[in-house]
Amino acid sequence: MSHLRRMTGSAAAIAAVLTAAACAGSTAPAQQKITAVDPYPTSKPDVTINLWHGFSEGSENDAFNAMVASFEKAHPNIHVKVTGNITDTQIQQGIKAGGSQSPDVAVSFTTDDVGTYCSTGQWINLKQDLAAAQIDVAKTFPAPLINYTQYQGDQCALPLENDAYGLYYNKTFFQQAGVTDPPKTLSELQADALKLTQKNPDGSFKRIGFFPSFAYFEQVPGHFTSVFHLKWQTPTHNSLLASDPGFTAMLNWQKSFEDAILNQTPKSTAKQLTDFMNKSMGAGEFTAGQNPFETGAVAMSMDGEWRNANLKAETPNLSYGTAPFPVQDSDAASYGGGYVTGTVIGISSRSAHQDADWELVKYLTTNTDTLVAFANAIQNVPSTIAALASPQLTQNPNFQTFVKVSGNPNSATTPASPNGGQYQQTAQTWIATWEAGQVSNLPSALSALDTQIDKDTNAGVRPSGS
Amino acid sequence: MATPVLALPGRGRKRAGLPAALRAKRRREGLAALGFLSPWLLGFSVFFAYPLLAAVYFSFYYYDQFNAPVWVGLKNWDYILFNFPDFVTGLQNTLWLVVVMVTLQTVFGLGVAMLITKIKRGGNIFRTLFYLPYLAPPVISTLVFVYLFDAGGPINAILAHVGVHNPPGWFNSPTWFKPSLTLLSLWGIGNTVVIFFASLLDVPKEQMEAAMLDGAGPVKRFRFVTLPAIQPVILFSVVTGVIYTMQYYTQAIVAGEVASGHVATAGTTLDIGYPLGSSLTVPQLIYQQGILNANTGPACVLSILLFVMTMLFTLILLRRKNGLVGGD
Repeated sequence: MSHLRRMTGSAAAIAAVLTAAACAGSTAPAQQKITAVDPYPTSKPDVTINLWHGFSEGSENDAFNAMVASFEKAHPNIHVKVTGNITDTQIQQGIKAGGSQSPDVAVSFTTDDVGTYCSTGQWINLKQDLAAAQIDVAKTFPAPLINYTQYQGDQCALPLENDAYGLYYNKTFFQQAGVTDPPKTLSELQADALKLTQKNPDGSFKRIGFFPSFAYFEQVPGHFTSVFHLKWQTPTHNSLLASDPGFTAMLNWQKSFEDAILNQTPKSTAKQLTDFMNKSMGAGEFTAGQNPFETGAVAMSMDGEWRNANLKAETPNLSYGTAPFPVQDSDAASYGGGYVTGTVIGISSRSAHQDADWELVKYLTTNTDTLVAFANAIQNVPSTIAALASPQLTQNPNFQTFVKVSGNPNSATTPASPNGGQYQQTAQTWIATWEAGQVSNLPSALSALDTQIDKDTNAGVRPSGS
Repeated sequence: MATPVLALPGRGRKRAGLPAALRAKRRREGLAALGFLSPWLLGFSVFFAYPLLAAVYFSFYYYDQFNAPVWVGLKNWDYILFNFPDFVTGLQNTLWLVVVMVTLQTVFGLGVAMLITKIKRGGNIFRTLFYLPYLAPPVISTLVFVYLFDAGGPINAILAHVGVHNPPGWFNSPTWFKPSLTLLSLWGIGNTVVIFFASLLDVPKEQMEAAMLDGAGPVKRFRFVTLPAIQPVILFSVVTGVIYTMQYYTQAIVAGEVASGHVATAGTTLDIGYPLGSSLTVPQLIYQQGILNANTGPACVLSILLFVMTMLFTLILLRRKNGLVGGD
C-alpha cells in the first residue's frame, strides 16, 4: 500500500539520465515505430501539458525532469509544465476543480487509487490509444503491473515505475549469530530472528531479529499479500477476510512470532517490545540515518527496492544483503515472489488535449532507454519487460533481487477497489487491536470487520444504476 | 368618547403618510446601513449560510465531487449514526477534550494570571514568557512535544533519572495520548492567561478593600468579589474554548501521524486515529470522508452533527440560569 520512495541519487546517476535523455531525444524517430498512429504530430499547434507528480527529492525531480526534457526534445510542439511533490488527494482535487491549471496528466505514487480514478471517470480508459499505437499490454508490462493499472477491464492507468518488496538482512549480524543464508521460509525467519535478537538483563530489547508487527514501517498487511496469498475481496468488492484462510494464517503467524520473541527470555513483556519498536522507529523510516535497519536496531526487515538508495547514501559502510521475502513452510515452491506495486500514470478526462497527453504518457511508459536510466537514477525497478531485461539496468545484486521479484510469477498485488485503499486501511487499523491483544474471538471479529468494510464501501461508491 | 390614536412614527404608521423627503431620507439611510453591513452579509452568506445549506442538501446525496450528485435519502445519516463506529470513537475523544482540556485550560489560565498579578517586579517578563508558546505554529509545537515525549526522548530520560523507569507511553499509548495533548494545550495557554490577567486588573479595588475591611479572607474575596467581576471573561474563555476544541484537528492528527512513524506523503495513506483510535476526533473524520475519500454525503452529515453539538454546548453555557452567565 505504502510505497513512498526517497532516493538519493548520485550526480553520476543524474548525469546518466541526462545522457540517456539526450540520446532518447536524438533517437525519437525510432520510437515512433511503436506507434501505428502518431497522436500529436509536429504539424499540430503548440500545446502545454500540466503534469503533476509525487516525486519530492531533488535527485528524483532531476531524473524525472530529464525524462520530460527528452520527450519535449522529441516533440517540439508539446511543452510540459511539471509540478512535483503532489499527493493523490491533490491530484483528485485538481482534476475535480478543472480549469487551465488542473493536471492533464498525473503520476500517482499509489496503486490503491486506480479503482477510484477508473470508476469515477477521472482518468480516461487508454485501451483505444494502446490499440492505435499497437502496444500489446501483455507483452509490454509484467502481469502484476497490468493488474494494478486496471479496474474492471478499464486500462485507465499505465505503470511508470515498479516497486517490489523483499527481505533486507544485516550480514554482520548474520555472521556474528552464525546464520549463513537468508531465510526462505517463515519458520527459518523466526528461528533466525531469535538468534539475532539481543536483550538486556531486565528483558528489554537491545536489538531484534525481526519486528513481528504490522505497525512497523513497510510491514503493513497489504505487503504480505503474496506470502499468504491474500484475496482481500471478491470481484464485486465484498470483503473476504473472515473466509480467507490466508488472512487468519497471517494473523496467527504474527502472534506466534511475537510470543516466541517474548518467551525467549522470561522477563520480556509486550510493552517492552512495543517501546523498543516505537523508540527504534523514531522520527520515521525516511529520516536520514534513523531507520532501525540503518541504526542496527533490527537485523532483518521487509522493505522496497528503493531502500538500497537510502542505505547507499546514508550508511555506505553497512554490510547488508537482500533476498525475496520468506514464504509459508507449506508453500516453499512459491519462494522468489513478493508484493509488487508502483508508480502509475493517467490522463485526466477533463484535459482538452488528450492526444498530446497520450503522446507523453506513451513515451514515459514505454521508452526503454529513458525508463532504464530513470530506474537506475532513482533505484526503482523499471516497469516494462524490455527494461527489466536491459543490460543497462543496475546489476548490483542487492538491486537485482527486486528485479527478479518483480518478474516472478508468484508476485502479487492488492486488488483495486472503487473505494481506493480504504479496505486495507480499515483492516490495518483493526489489526492494531489484534496486536494489542484486544481480540478474543477471531472468526467473529473478522466477520464484523468484513461487515464494516462492506458498509464503508457501500457508503463510498456510486449507487448502482445511477 | 373615542380615544385618540397616537400617531407613532415608524411601525404601524402608513408609509403613504410620510412626506416624500422623509421617505427618501429613510431609503438613503437604509441603503447606507445595508452598504455598511454588506461585507458581513456577503461573508455570512458565502462562508456560512451557503455552506450550511449545501451541507444539508448534500447530506441526502451521494456525491464524489466529480460526477453529478445522486439522491440517496437517509442513507448517509444511517451510515454515520448507526454503521460507522469511528463516529462514536471520534465523538468520545472530542467530548473528552472538551470537558477535560477546556476545564484545565480555564483553571490553569486563571491560576497563572492570578499569580502574575501578585508579582511585584518582573511581571512583564513572566507575561511574555507565558505568551510566547502561543505564538508557536501548532504543527511545530506538536512536533516538538512528540519529540520531547518520545519513548527515547528527553522527558523519559529525566523521569528515568529521578527513578521512574517505566514511564507512560505518552503519544504512543491509547491511555496517555489525550492527556499528552492536554499538556501541549496547557503549554500554549498564553492567550487565555493574558485575557484573564487583563480582567483581573479590572476587578474593582474599592470592593476588594471593603471585603478586606469586613474580614473576608482570600478565598471569600475570590468567591464573592473576583469571580463575579471576571465571570463574563470566564464565559468568553469557556465558550471560545469549547468551539475551538470541538474543531480540534491539527495537533491531534500531527501528533498521531508522527508518533506512529507513518508520516503521510505522496503514495501513502493518511492513517488517522493512532494509537488505537485514541487521537481520532470528529473534524478528522470529516476530512477523511470529505477530502481523502471524496465521500461528500457522510462528511456533510458529520459536519451538521458537529455544528448542532457545538450550538448545544454554547446554548447550555449561555443559559441565563444555572449557566456560567448566572441568574442576572
